Amino acid sequence: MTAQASQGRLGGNGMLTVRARVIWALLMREMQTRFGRNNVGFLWIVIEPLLLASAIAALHAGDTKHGNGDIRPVPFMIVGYTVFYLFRAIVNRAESAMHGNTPLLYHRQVMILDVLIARAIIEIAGVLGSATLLMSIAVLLDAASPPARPLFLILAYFVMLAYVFTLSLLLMAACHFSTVFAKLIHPLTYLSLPITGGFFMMRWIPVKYRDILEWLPTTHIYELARYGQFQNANLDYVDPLFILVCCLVQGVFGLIALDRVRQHLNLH
Amino acid sequence: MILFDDVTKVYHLRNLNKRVLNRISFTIKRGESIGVCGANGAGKSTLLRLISGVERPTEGRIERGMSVSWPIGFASCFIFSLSGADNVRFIARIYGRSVEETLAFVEDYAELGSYLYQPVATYSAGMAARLAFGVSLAIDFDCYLVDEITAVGDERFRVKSEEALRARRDRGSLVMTSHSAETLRAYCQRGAVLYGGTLAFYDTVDEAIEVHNGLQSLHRE
Repeated sequence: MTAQASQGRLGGNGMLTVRARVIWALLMREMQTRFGRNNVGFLWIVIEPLLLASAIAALHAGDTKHGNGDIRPVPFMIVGYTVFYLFRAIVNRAESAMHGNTPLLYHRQVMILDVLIARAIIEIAGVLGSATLLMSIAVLLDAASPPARPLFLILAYFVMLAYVFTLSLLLMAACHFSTVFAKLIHPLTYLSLPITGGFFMMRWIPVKYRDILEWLPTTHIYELARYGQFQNANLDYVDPLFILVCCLVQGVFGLIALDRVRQHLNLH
Repeated sequence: MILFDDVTKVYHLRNLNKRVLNRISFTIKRGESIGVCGANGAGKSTLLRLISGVERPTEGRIERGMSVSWPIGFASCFIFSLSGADNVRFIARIYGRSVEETLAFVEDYAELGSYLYQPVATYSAGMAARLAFGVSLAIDFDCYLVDEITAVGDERFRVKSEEALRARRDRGSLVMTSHSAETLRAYCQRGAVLYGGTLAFYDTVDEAIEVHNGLQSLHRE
């Protein structure tokens, strides 16, 4: 019997079917561990940004003249925070991706990439859900206008997903081979918070700093998100080609690194 | 058929590179059952992980011409925080099996009662092994890899699993590791000894056990 035939007997036909099946199974599993069975962990996806955005909104209550047209503090925070949340969630999980999950790899057809893809799908769904909820609340309370260019806003979340997902492949490999790096990744995520571009607009920044910040791909992505949200935002500091090249380079090296990890992984 | 062609496995540990398997080649045909002897740490579990494909060889080539189980043993194939039933559902899904049928089979076979719906973390080693055994039987592989777990469960369960494994062995293949000579004799026709990174095959389990015991007493002196 050939390998294909025996795979067929196992109810699949080819790589893609197996991938889809495995990712679906992982999604169900991830939902069970996070959402399911006496666990309200998923509520934090919404509650955490909700708390922060509410605090910011309270701080800025009555702060009506911001001088930026429709760029108001509450939607500004909501967009910045939810895009950052996606970044942080996927980066931080890169470190722990393998810890609780080695039993999954005890089944030959489960690839590390499948585990990461399933998680990414859950994160993007969670973030889009909470961003929609937060923005709706803000609009209802008249603290924000609806997104001016909704498709660009949604695009920005997916661009962030592509960027942080490919980045997380590299980070995962780095964490696997260096425990020091694994320890540093959480503080680094928070320390990077002020400069990654979630909470300022590039046009507010003096030129000499802006030239440096432009080398951070995330600043382009946040600008894109704000262009989606605000009528008065623009695309001056968004370079699609730069983001694309970053994602491709990270993706290629990330997949190579991931293969090295799998090769190296010891399932004791 | 399972083919090992010049396979080497090296583990990179903190300060040493441990060469667990050194350039081994063999084939396992359909219908063969092989009992592998070897001391603790000789690489029996590593061998099974390579056969199953959950770990890759450092060098060499491995081909699998039939569906091969994961190594069924104490090393867990389960997520501890999930219930036994959720784990069964997950495994059924990744192997493209009907979730209900698989669950029904395991419920009946593993006899875990209401524990099936408790987290695997609460299971005893024997219960986890019974669950692993049950799911793997439900998936219905061609080749079963069994790592030291046939001694679990009470007499009744042992008889049941023996029957099940024998039935599969007659259709497919079986590779088993055990420290117990009787277990290997009961299940396997051929024997093999893993020693010093090489794997030697023998026509009978008894021969393999004899060689293995010889090597062990050599160490004791």
